[in-house]
Amino acid sequence: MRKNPSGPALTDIADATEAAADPAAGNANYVAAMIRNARAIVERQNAAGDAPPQDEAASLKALLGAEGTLADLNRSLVRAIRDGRAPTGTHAHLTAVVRGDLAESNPRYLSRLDGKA
Amino acid sequence: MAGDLTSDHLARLADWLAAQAGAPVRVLATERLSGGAIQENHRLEIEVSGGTWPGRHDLVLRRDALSAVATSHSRAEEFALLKAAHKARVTVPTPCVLCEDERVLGGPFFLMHCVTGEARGGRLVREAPNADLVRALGANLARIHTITPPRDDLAFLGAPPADPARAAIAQYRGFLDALPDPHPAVEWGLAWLADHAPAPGAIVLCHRDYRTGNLMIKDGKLSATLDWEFAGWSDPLEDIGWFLAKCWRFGRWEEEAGGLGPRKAFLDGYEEALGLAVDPAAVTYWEVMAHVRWAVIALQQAWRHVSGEEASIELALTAHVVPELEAEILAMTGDAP
Repeated sequence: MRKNPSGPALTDIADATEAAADPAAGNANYVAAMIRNARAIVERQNAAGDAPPQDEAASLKALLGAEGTLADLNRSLVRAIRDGRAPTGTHAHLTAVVRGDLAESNPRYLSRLDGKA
Repeated sequence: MAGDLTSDHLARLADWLAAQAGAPVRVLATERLSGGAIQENHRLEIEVSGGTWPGRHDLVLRRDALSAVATSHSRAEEFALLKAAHKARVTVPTPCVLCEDERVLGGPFFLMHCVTGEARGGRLVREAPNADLVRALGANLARIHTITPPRDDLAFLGAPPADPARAAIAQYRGFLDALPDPHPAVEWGLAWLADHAPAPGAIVLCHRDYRTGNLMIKDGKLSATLDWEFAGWSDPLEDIGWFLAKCWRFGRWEEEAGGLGPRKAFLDGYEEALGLAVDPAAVTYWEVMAHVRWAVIALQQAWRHVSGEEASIELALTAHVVPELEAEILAMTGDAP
């Protein structure tokens, strides 16, 4: 599940930071890099669209044999893991979801994990 | 109380220092140092005309910043930790004097000797590998771990935990429960940690943030162990796992000791200093714990932004570090919890 803030909320803080940025400040390059990073994450999320959350919800429904919103299904999975009754396939499901999140948050990290960078 | 030191502050500071030194004190120069969202550091050059500390001194004044958080140690506590560490021959800035009289600067502060060097991880890993440095970092950590409870001077640390691993798991589960979004991959890591928790061993003083970024290096050698605000009684392997964890290598993954050098050199330095052997499987356990802990802290930091408590792009982006940590947790724990 995409971490908050994502999408428009991440754009909002990037916009606010940019509007308030002082180009003469000692950390101006660092702030500019953070703004670029936030915008790049949002661009990748927009490009991926609704497919990642829809795929995640479908995988959770199959895993748990239950219906619900993405957040509620994830809450059910959290309870199952904590209670020691995580269904078979949980690790593979989580790995697929985390790889999808990484593809948006830090694709270079994912490439390095896969030995491609 | 945060901000620059005013001329009034400096006049009161000089008077207070003169009373401590038993001699006139002149402040020659001050400069606010960068970094420290929780604490504020000012460089302070003074000249003492006689008394107990005659001569010129290059010092750092450390006090609370505006955004001080309740969870970190007070300045008085940090001063006690620095004194204990210095006495145990840990490489720290020599602590000088503590002032708890709020009339001087509006809040407590302490002075320590000024130490120079580079602490930024991104810069330091460019110089890697340096096996001698990481061996020394291992030996330095071992010296921290020679400080054991009970200690009257460190009574503020509370009672040592009976089972540090299980106490940490319970605490991190509580932290996750206080956040609105579910985080099943972190929860998976916690379940693995609960299932693989080691039998409790020795309890020592742990720095609890001993990693590249909090260690000042000058000319390839350790010059200071910084940022003691999370120090507490714990399993010594917690510090070892935190230092070695992949998430603290600043991208230099192949140098497993903090991105600075080989894992073996770090562990050799640690083991030689204490005359004991460290169990590699136990270290792996605490490396999983390190990733889980950093993930939980990162989620808490992101929530400070999302909840409106503190709008910050840095806090917001911390949320997007978590998938990296989750990927490592899942890779380390495998399919069977």
